[in-house]
Amino acid sequence: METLPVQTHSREEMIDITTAVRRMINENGWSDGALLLYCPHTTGAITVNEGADPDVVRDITVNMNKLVPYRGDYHHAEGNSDAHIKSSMFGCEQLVIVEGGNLQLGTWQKIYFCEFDGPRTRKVWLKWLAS
Amino acid sequence: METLHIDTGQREEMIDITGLAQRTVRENGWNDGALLLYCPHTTGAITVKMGDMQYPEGG
Repeated sequence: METLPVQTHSREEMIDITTAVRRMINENGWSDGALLLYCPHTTGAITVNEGADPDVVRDITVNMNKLVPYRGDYHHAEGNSDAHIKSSMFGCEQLVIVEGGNLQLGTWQKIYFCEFDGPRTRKVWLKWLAS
Repeated sequence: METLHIDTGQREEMIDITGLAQRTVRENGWNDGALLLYCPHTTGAITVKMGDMQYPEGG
């Protein structure tokens, strides 16, 4: 298992980690198989979505806040229940395909670390599953 | 890696690809393991849910 450090800068943020993931694939010589990207945090997530137009990430973040408001009917004393809920909605893992040493993403796809209660120092665990 | 081609007919639609997936499994002789189905599009997704046929026990 490898670890990718991720530094977030605001409370809610989607950080493009595609280049870092590609570097890990190259450095480790991973060739054909699947790569499990796992977020070990309960107020973060990993997702794959459009990277060409930054407005898509903006729209996701802004509208997630409408779906799950910061303040609401929450009991959790830490005051970050919205972040926990978003984390479960997005999911804590993504499984991507690696073929001939190349990360197989669609034309517009990028891999994002989703921060819902930052800024914090985060990490992503990577587990290589050879085929 | 294998590729399935899917034509959608409407803006929003859920298309049953179970038969296609089953055929691909058979044609490739995949026997025991797990199959990763990956959608390379940013406005589509893959899900598993109850089919449209009637189940006598309620699905």
